[in-house]
Amino acid sequence: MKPSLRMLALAVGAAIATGPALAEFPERNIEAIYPWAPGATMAASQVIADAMGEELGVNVSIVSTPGAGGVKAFQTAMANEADGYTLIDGYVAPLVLQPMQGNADWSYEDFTPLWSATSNAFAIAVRKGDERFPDLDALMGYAQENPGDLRYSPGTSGSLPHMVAAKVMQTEDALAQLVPYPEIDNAVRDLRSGILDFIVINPGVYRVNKDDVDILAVLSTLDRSSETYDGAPLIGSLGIDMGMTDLSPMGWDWWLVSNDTPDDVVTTLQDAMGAALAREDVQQKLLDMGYVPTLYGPERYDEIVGPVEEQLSGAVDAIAWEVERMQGL
Amino acid sequence: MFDLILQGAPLLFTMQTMLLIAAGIVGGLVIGVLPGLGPLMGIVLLLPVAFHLPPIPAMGMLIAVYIGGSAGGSISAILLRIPGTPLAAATLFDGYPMAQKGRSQDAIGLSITASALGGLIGGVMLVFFSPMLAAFALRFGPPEYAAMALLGLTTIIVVSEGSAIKGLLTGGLGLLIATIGTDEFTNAYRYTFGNFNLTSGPNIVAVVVGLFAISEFLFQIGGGGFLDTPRLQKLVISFRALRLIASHKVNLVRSALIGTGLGAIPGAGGDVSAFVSYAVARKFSKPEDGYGEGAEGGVVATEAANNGCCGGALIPSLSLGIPGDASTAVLLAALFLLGFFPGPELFRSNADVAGGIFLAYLTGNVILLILGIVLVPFFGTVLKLKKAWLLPIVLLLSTMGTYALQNSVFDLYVMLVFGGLGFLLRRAGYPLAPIIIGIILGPVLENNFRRSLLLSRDGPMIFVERPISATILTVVAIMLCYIVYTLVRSGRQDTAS
Amino acid sequence: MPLRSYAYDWIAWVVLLAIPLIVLWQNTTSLEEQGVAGGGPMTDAAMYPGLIAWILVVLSGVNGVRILAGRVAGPSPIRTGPTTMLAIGTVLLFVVYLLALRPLGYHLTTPVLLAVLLRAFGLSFWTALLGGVAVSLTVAAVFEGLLNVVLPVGMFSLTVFG
Repeated sequence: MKPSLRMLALAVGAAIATGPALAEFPERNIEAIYPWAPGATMAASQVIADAMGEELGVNVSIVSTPGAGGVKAFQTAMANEADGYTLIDGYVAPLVLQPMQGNADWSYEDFTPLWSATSNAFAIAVRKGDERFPDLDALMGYAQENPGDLRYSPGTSGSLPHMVAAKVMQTEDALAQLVPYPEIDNAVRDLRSGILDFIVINPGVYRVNKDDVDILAVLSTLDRSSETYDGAPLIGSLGIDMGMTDLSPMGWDWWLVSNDTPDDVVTTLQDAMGAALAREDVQQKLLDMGYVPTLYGPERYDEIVGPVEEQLSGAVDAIAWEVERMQGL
Repeated sequence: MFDLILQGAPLLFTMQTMLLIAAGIVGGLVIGVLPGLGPLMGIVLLLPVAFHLPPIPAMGMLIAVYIGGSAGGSISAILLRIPGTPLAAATLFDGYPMAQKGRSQDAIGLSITASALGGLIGGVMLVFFSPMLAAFALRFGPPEYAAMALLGLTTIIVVSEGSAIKGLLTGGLGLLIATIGTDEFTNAYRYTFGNFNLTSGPNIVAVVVGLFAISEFLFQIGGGGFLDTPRLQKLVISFRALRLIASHKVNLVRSALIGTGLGAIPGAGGDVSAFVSYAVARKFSKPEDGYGEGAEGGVVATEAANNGCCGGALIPSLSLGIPGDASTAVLLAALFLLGFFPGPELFRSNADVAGGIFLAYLTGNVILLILGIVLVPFFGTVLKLKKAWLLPIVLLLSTMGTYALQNSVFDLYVMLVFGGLGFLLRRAGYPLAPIIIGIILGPVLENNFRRSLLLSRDGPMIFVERPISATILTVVAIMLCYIVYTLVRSGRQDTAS
Repeated sequence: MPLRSYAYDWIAWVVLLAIPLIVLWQNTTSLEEQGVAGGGPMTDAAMYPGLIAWILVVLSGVNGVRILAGRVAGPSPIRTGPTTMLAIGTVLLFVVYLLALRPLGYHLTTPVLLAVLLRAFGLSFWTALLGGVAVSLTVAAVFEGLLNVVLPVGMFSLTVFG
């Protein structure tokens, strides 16, 4: 037994000596906890992570931790030490939406922002050349006259695209049967084969399925959102006010760390991410994938994230309205 | 069909991908050679590695492991009379007698050659049929997918070893495990007991590693003999088998086609196809061939079939998203982790990926032919690896592989729990493959079932109003009747005796 | 004595019966509280698992009768051999390893686990020790170095290839 104990003591000794010395951050690989299953959106985060890793001189790997509408990823990240080696890819759903719905006990103020990453606008899409619905008016008109008759999918139920779509339909007093799909990619198939009447798509999925869908309206107030859908009309230009502006109706993410993270570490990370996002090639790659770099610095976090909650509460009510109306049919 | 291949070619023919496929073949062969570890285990152990690679190299490597692992089992069957994998059990009949007659070199050469050529024939079928099936499946909606999931489950239960009732129980268990987590429709937490780690359900990799690798680890410890090394005949590199196989052309093609055909039926699997094609080859043989006493044809038949089967099993997996066996179920999980949805969409939206996978499969078999023969002496050395070294290495790779997927220690406990469950169920003679198929097909079944009802304008009638779903459900009903019939009949026979 | 000679069959039977019963119990408690145990396909998250669970309960019933009547493929007694204690010890060691992995990190715990296993499987002390360290470092090189995985670093923030 003796030699092994001695070896162990030696090993521990060596470990302490070389361990948490006053080395410069970062001295090892960093993980960014990502709240969804792998897919097009994760690839966008990977682009940022890679560029950030190059700035920092270590590897930043995206760890996909899906579950509970993104809450699991936040909980996983917060269970780790606040040493800057765990970043949170903070999507709006787990950051703002889930706490609003009582599914998580944090607020956006519990996190320190690095930089805002990307945004992507949702859009209402129908089957290519569907003669019934040449424009949004026709679609909404049909759903008004035949409440609950149309079948639509925004991906998962209760998600952000679901809220925004429900809000639009509430505004128009139109009603359609929700059919949830785990990823909107799968719903495209059933849209094409005529089982679904319309879907709420995102730019990444739109890019892959351009030949199969027509975009009726982009659910955003920002002109550049229209560009990610090849110039399809913004919903405002069709005379519909969905009561949400700027980032509120869109999917977006801020990269975050825990508030307990040391200041110098936060500064290093912020600088690296800022530098990564400022790179032309990074921006172009993101745009090619359908994700618009938002380029908001950490100082604008409160100003931008704060108002979102209020605007989204109207959209949460829209889902409740949809459920109630459907049950009344 | 050919445009798929063309689109995939640039992704595949890179140095990285080629090296990974070669590494996958060697790794698969080694894992197949080692008794107790099969292609499934190889895929499972390399899944986390694949997850950190670009999609095509990753899938290429995993498919290569699948091919190599399916071929490698025959080597230990021939040399030691221990099939490295259940797939190679039928290879014992003639492979081992050949070795006893001093022809182990020829037997191994033939088995590798037959595997590779059988695999290539399966590959041609794969390239030919899966785009057709995928194009047909474009007409599938939620009712058809629900029906297909049910079909896949029922078949694996019909053909899995052990009694049908045990298959039904483990298949059902898989379906229940799949319901743990966040319900897709209501966002409610099901069976998570307040543990946030479970909100996305138990990690499929942790479950598979636990059920197969950890339970095998426990079995192997129970077996003892940690320092044993077997005595083997001296092995050299020889291409003589390429000449020998020329006299078994008909047998080779026939067996490979049987393998592919059976493999394409979800659930049938390589061991079944090996036994069936062996029986057929024997029936067509002349008495002087001496089947069972070291006939070359026997080795050719089983090995061509069980590798042809890989190509077959990939057909429904890729084109429908319905796995052919437990190995392809894990391959599907890998594809999903890499961000692709197996099924008709893969062929439409990611034709390059589908084509790359086809090419990887074909290339893998070519590499198998070369490396398999060149490395024969090396496999002799592998067989001499002591269990004392093998077991801790398998344990560590399983553990770190599972950990690396989500950097989660919780997943390791899941792995351990399923290791215990797998050990228990194997001891009691339950088949484990239906659990995996159940977990993969569970969400497909439940969500498409519920989705169909939401889409339907007259309730459950949607399943019988649509001709394709009605047809599939009729087949399922017939198979269920068959299961009940066999259960009742075996009960009667027991009473009579 | 059928209970002894079909021991594994009976344990598996209990487990396979308990799991659907837990599901049914959760359906009437947790899912009921969340308000998702009724209504149509959109709101009823309990119907499908409940259906599967009931099928399993019925099948388990049939299977229980079969084991009672001795109509399973063969007996499955619990046999203890010279390696039984080793197997139990290994599992316990592994649990300790999992418990220590987060706090102490990969590089402190893994060589110890491997060395103890190698020694327990009959290799000499020094072979086991050096082998444990070598295997541990090789695996770390692959995961940390090649795949950029952050292996558990523990309280001393130890990495070798990261």
